[in-house]
Amino acid sequence: MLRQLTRSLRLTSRAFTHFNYGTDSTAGQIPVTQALVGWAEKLKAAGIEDTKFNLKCIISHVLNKKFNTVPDSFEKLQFNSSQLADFERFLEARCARMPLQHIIGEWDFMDITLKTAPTVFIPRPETEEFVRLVIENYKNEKHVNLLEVGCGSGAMSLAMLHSLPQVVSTAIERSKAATVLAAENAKLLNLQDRFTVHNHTMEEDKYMPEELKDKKYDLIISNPPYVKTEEFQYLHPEVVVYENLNALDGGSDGLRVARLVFELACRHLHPGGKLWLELGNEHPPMVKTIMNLKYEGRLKFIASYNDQYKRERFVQIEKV
Amino acid sequence: MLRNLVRLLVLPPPGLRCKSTAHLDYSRYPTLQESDIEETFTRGSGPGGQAVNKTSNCVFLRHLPTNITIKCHTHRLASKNRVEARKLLLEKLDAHLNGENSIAAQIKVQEQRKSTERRRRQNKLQELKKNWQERERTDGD
Repeated sequence: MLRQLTRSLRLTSRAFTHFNYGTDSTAGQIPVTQALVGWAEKLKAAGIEDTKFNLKCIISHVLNKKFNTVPDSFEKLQFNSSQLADFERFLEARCARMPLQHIIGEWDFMDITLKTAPTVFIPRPETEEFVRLVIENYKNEKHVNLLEVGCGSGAMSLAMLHSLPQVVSTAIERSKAATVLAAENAKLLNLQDRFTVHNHTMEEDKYMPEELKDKKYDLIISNPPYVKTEEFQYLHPEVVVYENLNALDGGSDGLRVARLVFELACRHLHPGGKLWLELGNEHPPMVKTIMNLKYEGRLKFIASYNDQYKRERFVQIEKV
Repeated sequence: MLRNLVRLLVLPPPGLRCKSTAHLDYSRYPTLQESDIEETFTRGSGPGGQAVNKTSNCVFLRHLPTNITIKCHTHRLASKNRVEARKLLLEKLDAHLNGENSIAAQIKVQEQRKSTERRRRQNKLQELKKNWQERERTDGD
């Protein structure tokens, strides 16, 4: 009788483990379609809108499959026990508004895939359009000495290096974490021989680190922080909690950091060299005014351009 | 920029070209003008850029002259889906405008011709085998 009791106890306890979800699950495996029951609602309740996309990204990542090889219906896919644990952990993190790109540890940018890291700014799709524009303007140049100000994960420089073999890039970045990540991404993409990043914070009269103080470049690109401080209250948690505010804060008018870049460009661009900036929606006309009023004879406003959402956000400036 | 991409796409993607020396007639293959396309891809309202980290990857294209629509969310990145969507639109346009003269239809006809030829050869071989076996049997008598 005791044997009967222990046997029934064993069976009931097994029934309570998450392995026994359905009759069609093989030992220790659970169909993905069952594992995700209830999660779309939890994501929506947490304030996340594109739930299908988030689920597909996380499932692809857990199963170590490419996103475009996973069917939208997730049919015939299964998690083992450790994958299921990962899956649920990642979804809890997503419900806590951790950025999807930080959860899956990588993100695509143009034709490259970059590693992501906590606190480091995640490259935005508009910046792809910005880099495409710069590449278009430089693809026929013989050799380009590029400087990137505030490279973050290294997205812009590395995409340029990947696309144009004649470009060599130096970058400065104030965040230690981002500096390390950018160097790591360069190594992962095998571009480390054409990319060096220096951990340095720009300030008045010390625009560049000591080792670069006499260097001049053909091209400077930057996507400096341009969000107005007063706009921080409207930012989503993914941005304001998990990304570095230093990567966003442009001061009261959004151009505090851009102004430092203007001064840096005066000192470190060859004559005829160009400065390309990605800024916010209202900034291009302001930049044109600043060039005319303050930088006559030194910098010249060439043109502004729209991003793919038809917003005027990119500017091209020339060193006179 | 996208104009260059579209120019690239005037030639059908390599996957569509036959490995054999099959002669496909591209004379009717359509061209895609950016001005004819209405593109919608969500990025949320507001200024976008640094302030936003929305991850929508879905691209909708509408070809204005024909009202043909394409929805594409194959890739993780919207920028890749923009290119993919234009490829799909070109294929759909080709089928719509050229019907049986579209590249896809031409390839199908060629594949069918190849398989009927293969079947005919197999049948011939079977026949020859059968005849030889018959002859062997009668010879053995």
